[in-house]
Amino acid sequence: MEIFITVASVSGISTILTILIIISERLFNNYGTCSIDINDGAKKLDVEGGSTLLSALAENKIFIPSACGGKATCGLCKLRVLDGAGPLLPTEEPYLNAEEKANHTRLSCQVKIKKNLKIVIPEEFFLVQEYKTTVAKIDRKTHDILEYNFKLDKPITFKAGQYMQVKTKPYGKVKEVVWRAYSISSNPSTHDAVELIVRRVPQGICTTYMHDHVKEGDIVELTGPYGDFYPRDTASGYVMIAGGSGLAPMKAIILDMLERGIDKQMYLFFGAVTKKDLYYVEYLQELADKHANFHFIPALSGALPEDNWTGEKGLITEAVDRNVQDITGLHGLLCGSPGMINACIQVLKKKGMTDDIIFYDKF
Amino acid sequence: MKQTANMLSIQEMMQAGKLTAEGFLGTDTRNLTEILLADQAVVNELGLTFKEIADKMQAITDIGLKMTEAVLPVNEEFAVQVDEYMGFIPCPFADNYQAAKRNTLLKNRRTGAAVHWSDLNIHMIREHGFFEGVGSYFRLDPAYLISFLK
Amino acid sequence: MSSPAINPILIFVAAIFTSNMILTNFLGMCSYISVSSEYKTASGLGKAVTMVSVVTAVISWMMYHWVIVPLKLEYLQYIIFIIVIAAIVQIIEMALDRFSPDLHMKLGIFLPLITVNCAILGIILFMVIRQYSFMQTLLFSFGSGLGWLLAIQALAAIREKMAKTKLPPGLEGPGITFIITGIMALAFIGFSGMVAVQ
Repeated sequence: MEIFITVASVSGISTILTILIIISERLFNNYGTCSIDINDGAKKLDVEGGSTLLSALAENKIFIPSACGGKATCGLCKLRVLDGAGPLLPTEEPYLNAEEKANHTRLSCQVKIKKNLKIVIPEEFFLVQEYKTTVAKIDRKTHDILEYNFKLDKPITFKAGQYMQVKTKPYGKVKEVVWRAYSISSNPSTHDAVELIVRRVPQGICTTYMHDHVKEGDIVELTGPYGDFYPRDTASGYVMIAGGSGLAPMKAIILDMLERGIDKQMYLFFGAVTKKDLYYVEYLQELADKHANFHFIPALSGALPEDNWTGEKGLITEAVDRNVQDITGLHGLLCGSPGMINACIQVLKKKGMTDDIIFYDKF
Repeated sequence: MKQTANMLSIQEMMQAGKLTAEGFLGTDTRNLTEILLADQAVVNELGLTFKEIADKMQAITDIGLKMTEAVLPVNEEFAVQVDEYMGFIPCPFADNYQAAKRNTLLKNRRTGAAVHWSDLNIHMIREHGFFEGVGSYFRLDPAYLISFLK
Repeated sequence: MSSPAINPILIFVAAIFTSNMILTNFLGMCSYISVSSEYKTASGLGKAVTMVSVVTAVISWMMYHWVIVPLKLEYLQYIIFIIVIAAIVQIIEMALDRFSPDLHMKLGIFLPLITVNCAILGIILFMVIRQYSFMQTLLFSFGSGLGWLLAIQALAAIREKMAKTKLPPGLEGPGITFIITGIMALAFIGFSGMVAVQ
């Protein structure tokens, strides 16, 4: 009899407590169906409460840029949440400046959907789609740069200068997936494929994945197009400066403008150290020879005797300084490492170019 | 030894595949707090501060920045080369520091010995006293590193 | 089987100072030692411990007097108390996530760690041994929680101030922490005997 009471009471208490926990979970974690009002009623979504805004939007095929996949380390997924978000979380704080905090900007990967939301999504994000692509071709351009041609599963529309996000798969010791951004180097008039340039970064998660584990014929997921790096119409010409893999968006921009017959002056400066770091040189030189308004100026800062280099010598900033005199009406388009971009901005500003017409990707 | 939850979450961020391909802890069997304490002891014994070490590293990187991807002399004994890549890498200590992807290679011209570091290394040494785990690609043994910075 | 004739308010004061969970009874040392290096996180943990100790003590009192004693299940009391603590911590964590996600994120992993804090079980067992009444239990658990909070805040403040000092080799971390705690406990002995707890 005693054994029965013992077993019954312990089981009873455990069961009651478990039921209490389940009830609390239903009560506290159940947010029901919440509606998301996008752009003042332009689009309305009904989603299950409890997930993050970023993932809920992705499930509804609206892709907000994100490099870290929701871990609050990249700060790219910013959206304005006008109503319905909880208090600002400590994980979001470091990424928002005073102006953003004032206009209700949040990190969408940190906002948990608990009730109806009112949000603002920039128009260009609606053009972003998910693509399941097949790697059609991999071409080696230099000792650490590969060019990938991805055949898309549906047509794409993008502006020259924009970028795609590549999704990696787990490999080796890397157990999670990441997204990394790469500028599109192909002409926007090609709608069924995109070309990306990937330069190997030591210890880089995505570049190591791409260089060591992706072969022709593999399936790779891309999202895009993203970015507000593209030539503005208001310019009378463009000073374009690129280093390393930064030549990618420039190639897209130039092919696009030449194809559309835009007659503006384009000066493309490409800086490298020795001849083996150059690529696309003959291709771009041919275009320059054929089109009077396109000028291609590659520069080597450490040309070796065997390079037999007859082109510009010295730093890319020196080449720009020497070759660009009158910047009236010219816009600046820069793509490369942060150090190179800073140095080029200094040179352009010294010549009189203002900040508002110098453009560069911030990723 | 048990770590605070804060250290545990930072140690999580340092695993392979979170921010870099192989992570920041290499094949080290010690936990983050033990690594920090051990390296701090070495630095204290050599009579330097983290700030002094980081400043010297930054000065050498600045010399190399005058012309990236080229070998530049630091003095009669050492030469430096700085390589740069596009993009940023966040600091695993969750202090919202975004480091440029910049690698500095410092070589002793006479002996051929070399040491390399990233911009993130400089920041992590200066602010957190972190030299990465043994076996990590960017591990800097404090005594070895300091021998190059005289 | 009657409760001691002590004013609950006196028990409250005693639980904080003269019968401090950490410094007099040495209970709840694990998280106390490992989480006391930063003042902010130590504070957060102390508040969470206080909340958990009050809720679990009250529920355990009800469980003890309405289920365990009538059914003569005293030999099962440890198991039942632990089950109650674990369940309550879970529920409090969920409630916190719902009503104060900011605080929930700041506490993070500390909340579930409270389950294994021996101070919590200690408070409940003191309640049983000393046969406290309901009001006495309520104020005793609240006071004990506050005493734990006070102790860990004091330690964290001292450790933060000492963060940059050079210590004798081998004493960094747990070593110096135990020494500091011991000295604080010696100081608190000065309070002993001032107020009776049982």
